[in-house]
Amino acid sequence: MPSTTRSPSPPPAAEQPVQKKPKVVFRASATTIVRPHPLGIKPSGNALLADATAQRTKTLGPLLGQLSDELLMTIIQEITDPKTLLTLSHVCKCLYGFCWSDELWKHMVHRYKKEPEQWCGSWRNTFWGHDPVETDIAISCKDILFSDLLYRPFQITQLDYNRIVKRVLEEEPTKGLIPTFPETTMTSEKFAGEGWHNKPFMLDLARPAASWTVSELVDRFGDVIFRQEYMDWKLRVYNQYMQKNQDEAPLYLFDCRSDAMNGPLKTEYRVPIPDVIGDEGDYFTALGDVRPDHRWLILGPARSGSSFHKDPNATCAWNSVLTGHKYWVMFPPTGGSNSNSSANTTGIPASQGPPPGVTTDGEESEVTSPCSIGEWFLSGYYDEARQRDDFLHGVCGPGQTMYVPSGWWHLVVNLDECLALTGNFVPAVKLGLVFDFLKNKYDQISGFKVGKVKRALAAQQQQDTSSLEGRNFDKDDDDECNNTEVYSKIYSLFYDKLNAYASGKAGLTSTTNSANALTPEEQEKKQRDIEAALQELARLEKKRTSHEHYLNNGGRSDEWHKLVDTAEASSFSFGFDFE
Amino acid sequence: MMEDIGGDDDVEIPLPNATSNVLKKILEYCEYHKDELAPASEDESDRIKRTTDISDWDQRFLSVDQEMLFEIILAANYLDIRPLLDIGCKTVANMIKGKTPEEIRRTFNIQNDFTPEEEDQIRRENQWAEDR
Repeated sequence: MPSTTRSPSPPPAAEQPVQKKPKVVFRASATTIVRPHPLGIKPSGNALLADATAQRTKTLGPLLGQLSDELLMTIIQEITDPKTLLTLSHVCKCLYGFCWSDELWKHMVHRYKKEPEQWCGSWRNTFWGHDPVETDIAISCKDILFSDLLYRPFQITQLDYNRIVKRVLEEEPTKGLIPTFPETTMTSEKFAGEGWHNKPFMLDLARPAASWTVSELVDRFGDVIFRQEYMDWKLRVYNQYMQKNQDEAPLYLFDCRSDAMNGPLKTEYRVPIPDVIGDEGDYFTALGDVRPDHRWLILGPARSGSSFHKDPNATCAWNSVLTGHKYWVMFPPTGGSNSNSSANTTGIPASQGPPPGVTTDGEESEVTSPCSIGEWFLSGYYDEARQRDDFLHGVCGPGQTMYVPSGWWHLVVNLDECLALTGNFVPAVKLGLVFDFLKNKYDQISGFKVGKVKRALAAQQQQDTSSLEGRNFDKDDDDECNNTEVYSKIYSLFYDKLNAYASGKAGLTSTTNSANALTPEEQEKKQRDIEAALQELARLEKKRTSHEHYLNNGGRSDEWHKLVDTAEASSFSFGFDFE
Repeated sequence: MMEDIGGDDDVEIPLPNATSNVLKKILEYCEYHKDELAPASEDESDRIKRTTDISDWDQRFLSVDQEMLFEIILAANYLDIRPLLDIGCKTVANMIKGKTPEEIRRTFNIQNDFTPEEEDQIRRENQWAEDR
């Protein structure tokens, strides 16, 4: 029997001296990774401990050897021909390591092989249609290649978010935790009246949004093309990809136009949020067929997700998990009118600015999130985020829905393979914000199809021989709006359609058809909502004007100027009054 | 770059490792292209989509020996002259195209350091491209 060494057992608890335990602060950025890189590539720092063979000029020759990793990779990225990239990898171990980088091969697949019939475990193998065999051996770059550029993506694939989140919740079980309510208790009084529309919450659903599972969907729609970011693949192939890939940021299925989502699946789910909030109360329904895509099936393996963003056009969102788990990190709105303005009783923490690692310009028309989700966790931004008072987070599991209020920053990462449904909507209480966005920030509008908007505008101005008439609207129907002239008119289009909707004259092509016959009471409510939204819009505009005025005055208020003027005027009259 | 160092006209910008020959070339390039607009920042997908064409003047400009080409690339990178860096990197990529591994080794003076077992693997990988 092998002998085991045991540490002496500790004294009984009562005998232990009372020690004040220092507070343990878990840092995700200090997560250690044990598994070595498949090719034996190590971080740059390790070169210091290695012998002289690590010198780049010795392994790569005098010319290529003088380049930094980034510069060498820039050159390799200029290679657009797959055969050349493969050949270059066969020159020496070091170049093999660089050319093995799977991002390079992802581009090749996207460029030359749009819809692979089979996923072979990596982009490189998939490109060549090479299913790994036992005789394959890994080329060893051990003690030759030390590169953060090549090691870091691998390191990120080794992140275990489940473990990180578990540790964080153990250490601080309540800090910033997003609250959960039973679905039936979220009434319109609670949502609009008590101010919960301004704060993220989760709902335990009375019944799930849909009963689908991944394997069932693959059985039914395996050969149907779904959209994954910029790739269109058969669901069967994407399922293979989910089971095995080595991507730093795994490809994420986000689909609303497949024959499945546009076909049979359309009627097999319900909007997983109370009607008073999410369906009857959805004012973007008034846009009819001009409305941007707003409901998606989402599927992805562990570690896939979305880095920090706000939802488009100041809409709110629901996101309901069918299978698996999502980890959410959220921060309150920042910048301009999107910030928490309405009085509320739910105690939203004051925003301390954009999430760590995210920078924006003042109007937030430019948002820069410089790193992937993995980098965000590993490089310390997450640890920084958890220290902030406005940090919110939570795990959303099967049968639960997350509510994302308009303007909130959110990052979402799948803790395991996760199937979910999501939708954007505009509840009555947020209509003023959406008015303000469409009217005053139309350069940030997204998702509208330019052809459809133009057609709707032409219909709106039938009498008017406007400049838009007589153009070919069909040609660019699938383009997203890229035209400031069209952007700037979406607000008035929406407003007109909304009024028609509220007065019962709506020619709606709503999916629910419930809006066809509004009762007089319902019409009255809609009109009250619009009136309230207009007042909110006026308030937001006034607030912004006074803020701009404040800035134009060199950051000094009118009161300050009045005081100074008075002081100057009085001192003038005092000092130079010769009378 | 001028913004980074405060925008003063009389600030010295150190150019370690750039010989006067290289600097002359860089100035020649900048002089020729000075009236062109700086390219807007572009993301990865744009970069891949972009044409691989290099203009005639730029091609002649980069018809230099290899040492000089790499020094220009290093200096363009250091001075953050993106268009010059782009065409420099493209030129090196073009030097690689159409060559066998052995020819690439000779061009850049690189030692073959694969083990015999790894050579077998390389041969098998080569087969992938042959089979296509």
